[in-house]
Amino acid sequence: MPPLARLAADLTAKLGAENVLTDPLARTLYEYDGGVDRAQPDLVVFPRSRDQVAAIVRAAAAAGVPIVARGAGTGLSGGAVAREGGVVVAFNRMRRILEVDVENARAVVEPGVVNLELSQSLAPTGFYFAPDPSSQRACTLGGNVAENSGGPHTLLHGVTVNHVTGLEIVLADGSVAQLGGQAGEALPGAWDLTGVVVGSEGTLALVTAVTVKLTRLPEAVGTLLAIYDQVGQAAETVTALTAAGITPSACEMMDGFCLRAIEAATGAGYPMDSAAVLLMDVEGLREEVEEDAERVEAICRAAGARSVRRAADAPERELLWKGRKNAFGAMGRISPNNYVMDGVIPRTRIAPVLEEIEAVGRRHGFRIGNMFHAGDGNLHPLVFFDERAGELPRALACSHDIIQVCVAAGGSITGEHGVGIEKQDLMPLIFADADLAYMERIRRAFNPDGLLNPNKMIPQSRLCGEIRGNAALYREGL
Amino acid sequence: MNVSAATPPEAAACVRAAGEAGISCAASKCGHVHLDLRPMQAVRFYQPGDLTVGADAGLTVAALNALLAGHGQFVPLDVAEPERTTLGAVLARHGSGPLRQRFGTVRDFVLGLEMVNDRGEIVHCGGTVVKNVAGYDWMKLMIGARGALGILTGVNFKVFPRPQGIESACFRGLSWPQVEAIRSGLLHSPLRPLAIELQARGGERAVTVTYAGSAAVRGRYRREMSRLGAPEITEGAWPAATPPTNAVYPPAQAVAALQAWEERHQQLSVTGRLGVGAFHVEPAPPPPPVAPAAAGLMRRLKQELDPGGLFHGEDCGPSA
Repeated sequence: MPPLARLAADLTAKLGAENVLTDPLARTLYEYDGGVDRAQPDLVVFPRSRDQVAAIVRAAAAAGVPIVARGAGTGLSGGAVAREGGVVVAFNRMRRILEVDVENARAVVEPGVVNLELSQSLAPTGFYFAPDPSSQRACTLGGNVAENSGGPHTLLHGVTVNHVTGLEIVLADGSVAQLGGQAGEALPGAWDLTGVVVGSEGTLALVTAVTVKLTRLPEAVGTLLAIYDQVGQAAETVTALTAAGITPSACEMMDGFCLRAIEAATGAGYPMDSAAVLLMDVEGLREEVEEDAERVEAICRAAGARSVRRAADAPERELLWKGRKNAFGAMGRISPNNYVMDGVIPRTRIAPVLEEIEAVGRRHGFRIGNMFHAGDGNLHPLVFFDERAGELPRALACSHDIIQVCVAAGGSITGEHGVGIEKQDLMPLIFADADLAYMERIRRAFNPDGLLNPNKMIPQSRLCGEIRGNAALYREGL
Repeated sequence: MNVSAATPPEAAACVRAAGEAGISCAASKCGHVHLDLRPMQAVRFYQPGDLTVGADAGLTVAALNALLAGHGQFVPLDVAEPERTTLGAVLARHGSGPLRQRFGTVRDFVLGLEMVNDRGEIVHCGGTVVKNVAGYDWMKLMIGARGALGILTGVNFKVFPRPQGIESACFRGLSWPQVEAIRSGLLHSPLRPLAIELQARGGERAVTVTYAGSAAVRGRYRREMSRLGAPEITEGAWPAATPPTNAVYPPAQAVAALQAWEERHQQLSVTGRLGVGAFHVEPAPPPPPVAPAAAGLMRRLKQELDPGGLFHGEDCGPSA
């Protein structure tokens, strides 16, 4: 029996046939995520426990087969795409909330728990899980940990790594390690291994349980929509808010182009004729929200806002946010395909960088839309294109140039979507050879045979034969 | 042997020389070569509008905060002896202070790190912007590793507007159950204090809650505080720095653990973060053991990142 068939038989015996997909048609559902890269896995397995995950890793490692973890597949950088083939470990059936410990403001969850479902189930306690990626109705905690996910409200509350205090992981040899887990800081002699595994995109270990920090729901939230006739005025507002020492819990910008599509799709009440809007939340005590909302409104007007609307109640607030949260779905109205990028720039540079990005788009013949986390300078330029017209390669080239604009402004190639396959070859834009080599050494300490999510994040051209090792052999053996 | 370095390349050259000589090197007194980074004090950039700053690791916390104060900003690193404590030391020891209640520890606001590795190369992680997930975040590994994996030479921080209108409410003469009632009461309240500090010594216990805001916000805090007892209000008082954390508990179990420890040590002295469960305790309780699998991972990292055992961290992490 060939090694792969033997592995399939072995895992079927261990997990049951209902938890192993071998059928090629069924496997095609697992060949993509929310990004543009595709690759079909050789097997898809659905563990139901940590011990099953450990058994899968041991069996796959013994067979020299790559192992790729997958949550809901909403990632945008190809992190869950098995580009070297192998076994996709889909965590959808490990979705129990194992423990809620309100007095210590923490919960322990399995990696397949859906982000929004965690916060909804916590609601009666008065607490929630703060990171809120746009995909939060579908994306899983395991995926959030892998990508160190953000979201609109990370401006005030921080990204996933700021809300994860411990992990249970299965290492590349199938052994299990408990990391962190206590609310306190690392004491002498204990390194912050949790912090290294968060954001490692499935290349260091498989996560089987996550200890998260819970955040108290605010007493009051104020939502403001500031409407501008010029994009530059909205950008100016962001700078002025920062200078005034105000940190909204969210500060989202949408340009007129995106806005009109969103409004047509969702009826959130956005103005159809404006150049840009800022959607902002302020939160805290009632007294703080009153004061901050007044200050924010004054700053918006001083920067040239045509009008500033404040949501009167929770339903109106939800309606304003509904537009933003469903924005990506609405983009289908603009063009058959869109490519969303994830660059970061210093937030004082928003206006000139948006102009440069528009110019890049014109050069490549594409219309660029912008809706993004303005408060922390995390841009999400959208390139609108038509794949059937063969425009994808040109759209990717345009995106590459846009990221270079962000880097030239002193920024980063990704703020929350991860590197994965998508930005693997862009890493040298911000890291020197020695930096990338150091990352390889960290990978080697955790994942010496390179079987965990191979050929991701670190440019392949850098990888020496030693680390390409088993994954490359596996591919050649097919 | 003491060697001073005024620039990262000088530090790198020193590490290479130590490596070639086969002797250990540390930015503390632990190594054969004690690399003194205090001459390395440059501020590399400061963008008040972006709330970001980058500096050499030899700059002191006090010097950095003096610069930021000019724009009403600060890094919430309220460690003891800020005039003598360098940024590198805060990172290596994962130092923190009372403001951790609101701002988290340095782990939560470091944006980028520069380090000399075991090969004497200058390597970078992270960047200068406030949100960034490119590559492994090995900054986390170095924060608290006490120099066991490299010599930190530079750091970029996210900075914060310095809170205005500061005030504290001090509850004195508390029993242990009253201390716990204040902790739990604050956890379940909508308040977000800057600090919640416990001081206990020789049977006397006090909790100080520090908060900031306008007169209306402070008034609200005072009303909420009076529900928890009869505090003494002091305007303008920042929480005092305390000695380094040496005891960590889940916050809801901290009071019971400290009470039990006090029963064995009548002269118990405790200062620290009641809200997060991190304290300086005298006499110190035994540290919790590191889980064997995590210790194994640390050994593998040490073996991979410093196979020659060049770096002898303060308190020395696992040796190769």
